[in-house]
Amino acid sequence: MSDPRGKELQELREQALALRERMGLDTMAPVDPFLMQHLEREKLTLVRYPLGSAISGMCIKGSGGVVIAVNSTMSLGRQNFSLAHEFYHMYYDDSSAQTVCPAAIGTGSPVERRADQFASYFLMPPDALSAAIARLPTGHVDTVADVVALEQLFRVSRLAMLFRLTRDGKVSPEQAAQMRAHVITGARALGYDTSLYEALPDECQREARGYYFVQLDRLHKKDLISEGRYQELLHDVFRSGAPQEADDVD
Amino acid sequence: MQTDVTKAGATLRALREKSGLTQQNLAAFLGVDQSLISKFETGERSLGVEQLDQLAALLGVDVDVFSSGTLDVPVLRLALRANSISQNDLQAISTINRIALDSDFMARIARINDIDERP
Repeated sequence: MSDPRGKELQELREQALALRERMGLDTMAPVDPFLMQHLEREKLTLVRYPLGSAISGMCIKGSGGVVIAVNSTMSLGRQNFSLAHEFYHMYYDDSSAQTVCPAAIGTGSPVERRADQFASYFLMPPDALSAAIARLPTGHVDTVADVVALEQLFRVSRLAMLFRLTRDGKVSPEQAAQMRAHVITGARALGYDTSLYEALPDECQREARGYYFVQLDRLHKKDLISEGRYQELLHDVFRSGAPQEADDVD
Repeated sequence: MQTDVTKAGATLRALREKSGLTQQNLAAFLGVDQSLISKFETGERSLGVEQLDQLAALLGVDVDVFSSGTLDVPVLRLALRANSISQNDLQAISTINRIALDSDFMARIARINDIDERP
C-alpha cells in the first residue's frame, strides 16, 4: 500500500536536491543560503527586514522578478531556515504569488508545513545529515553537545535542528523538549561561536541586494527615470543616493 | 485622476477579503477608525490619495486598481491569522510589498523602452 506522506516527503527531498543542483551546490556540503550567487540570474531580490514576531518571511512573485524578505530580528540560524522556506514558495508553490509566512516551524497550512520540510531538506540533505550523525562520538544523537555540533555544521537554529531530528526519529519529543533550553549559554560553554543563535545588530537589520539593483542601475544609466524617482527607489531599499565612499581598502 | 468612490470601495473590499485581512487590520494600519474603512468600502466616504497608496502597498497591488476596478490581480496571501497581526507587522508587509511593486515598475519601464531585462 502506498504511503501518501512518504511520497510527499520523497518529493520534497527531490525538490530540495534539485534546487541545490540548480544553484550549483554540492549535495553533501552545508550552505549559507544568503551567499547564493544566483540572485541576479534568477531575478531575485533578497531583503532582510524586521518583520515583527509573528512573521518569519515573505515571498512575492511579481512581473519584475521575485522579492524574498526574511525577518532580521530572528537568529541567523533561524533566518537561514526562513530563507530556504521561502525558496520553496519561490520555486515550487504555485498556489499564491504573494505569501506572508508565520514564525512557528512545522505548523500552519499544509503548504507552510511542506515549505518547512523542504527547508529542512535543503539545508540538511538526508545523506549529509546521516553522515554527520555517523561522525558523532557514539554515532548517534545522545547529548546536547551532539545537537550543537550538528546545528553549527548546518548553520540552523536549535528549533530547526530539533524539528528535523524529531521528525527523523533521531531524538524523542521528550529529549527535544529538554534540549530547547539554554541554547546560547550551552553552545558557549562548549566553545562555539554563538552568532548563529543571535540576530544581527540593529544597524544591519535593513538590507536589500540582488536583482533590484540591476534593474535600477540599468534604468538610471539610460536616463529612463528622473533623479527624484531614482532617489525614491533607492530609499525604498534602505539606501541613500549619496556618492559612494572610497572603497580601495580591502 | 478622479477615482469613482463606489468602484474603489468595492475593489478594496474584494481585495481585502481575498487577502484575509479585516477592516480592523486596515484601520489600524492607516491609524483611522474602522468605520471609515467600512464606509469607504460601501462608497459612503472617500479616502485620500496617500491613504489609497498606502493600502495598495499593503495589499501588494498597483494603486491604479482602485480606479480601474481590476480584481484579477495577484494579491497578498497571509499564511497566518489576521487577528495575530500587529500594526507593525502590517507596516513591515507594506514595506516589502513596495519593493516588489518598485521592481514591477522598473520591469515595465524596461519593457516599454525595449531594454533586455536579463541580468
